[in-house]
Amino acid sequence: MANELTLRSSIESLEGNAGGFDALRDAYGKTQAITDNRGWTYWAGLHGFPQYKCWHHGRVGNGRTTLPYNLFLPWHRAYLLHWEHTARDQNAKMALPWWDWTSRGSQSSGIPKSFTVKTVNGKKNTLVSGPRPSIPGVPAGPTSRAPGRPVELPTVSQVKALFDLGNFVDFTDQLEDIHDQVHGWCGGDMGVVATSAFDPIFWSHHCMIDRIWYLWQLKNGLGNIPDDYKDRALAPFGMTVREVLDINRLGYEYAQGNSTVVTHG
Amino acid sequence: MPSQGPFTAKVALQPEAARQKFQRAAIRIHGVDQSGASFEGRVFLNNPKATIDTPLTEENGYVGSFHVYGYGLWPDDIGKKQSGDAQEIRAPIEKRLFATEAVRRAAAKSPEIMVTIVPMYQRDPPAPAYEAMKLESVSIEIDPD
Repeated sequence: MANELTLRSSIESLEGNAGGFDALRDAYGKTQAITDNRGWTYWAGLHGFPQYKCWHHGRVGNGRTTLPYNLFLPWHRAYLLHWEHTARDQNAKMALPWWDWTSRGSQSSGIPKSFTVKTVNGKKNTLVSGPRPSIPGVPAGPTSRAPGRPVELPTVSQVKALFDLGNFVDFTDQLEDIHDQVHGWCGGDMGVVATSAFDPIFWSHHCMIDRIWYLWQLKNGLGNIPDDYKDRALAPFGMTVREVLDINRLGYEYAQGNSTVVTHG
Repeated sequence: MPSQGPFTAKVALQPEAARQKFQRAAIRIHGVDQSGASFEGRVFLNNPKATIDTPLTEENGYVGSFHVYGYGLWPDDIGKKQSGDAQEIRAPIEKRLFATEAVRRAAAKSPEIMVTIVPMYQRDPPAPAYEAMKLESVSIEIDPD
């Protein structure tokens, strides 16, 4: 990896640049054609079907009691990082863009056009759907969506309220509910854990979630997480929670000033 | 208990808690099943007749929604054995909805508050998932001043 930081931008800022999605479309198209562990279905299958490694809400441990911690945010940060590295192996100019569902554009039109227009320059748009493998009871095929009304997406005020929650457990709890809301709003494959990561918009939705955590960390401290979380393993990535707290140490950063949710004041 | 329609429970606040000032109140929904379809749980106070058609206004007792991102389809449920810690992952969860002002208004009238949850299921899941809201109980958590 190069020593410079990978810069993640908003979808809306890329839509303002000619060719802004070329590298992303190229990387996604190539990974969608690969069937080994460098490919789309392998990486999407880590989250839901068939591996179900993702962390959401609580889990039950030995003895059937609910574990007293929730690794939703750190697990998905590690997951996005590894996916971004995998996709950049196919196109080094690619970086994950975040989908700001609170933006004026999304609140009026829903999923950004760059992820819904079927063809680009006469070629299939690889951001519209991803390949979903055969699942018992469901034949293989491209992912689909059934989005709700744009005004039903989370708002700026909902997100800004999160920054007033100084306690990490309160914060992650409420951010995860907003995350759940957007999954359900997208409907179709995005709407359920089993198949959501096969849809290309999944990565940009989670990039937004990760960015909100990053902005919250800027206000509340990078190390603001219960001590007993810090040495928890983030399987299967070979990392601990402590190792994903500082995004700059992970080799990426978020562009400033091109999204509705910019400040944390 | 599974519920195709609304779930309603009466929550009794400690009388002294209801009278006292408090800085934050949260409605806690315990033991929420996350293995089926995704849904929005619309929460109403003191409106046990609320339905999916009830307007989401303060006058109707609406205080906000929580959202459940369901697992949707699961090989075990359709005849394929899933190995690993699958059952641990989709264990029932707890949801928390901050509703300080609404609880304050309701508590000023009575320490007994009726909480009604109306589920709204997601559109077009990739495979049929059961649409039955299951939850164990509801409580109201008060953080005193």
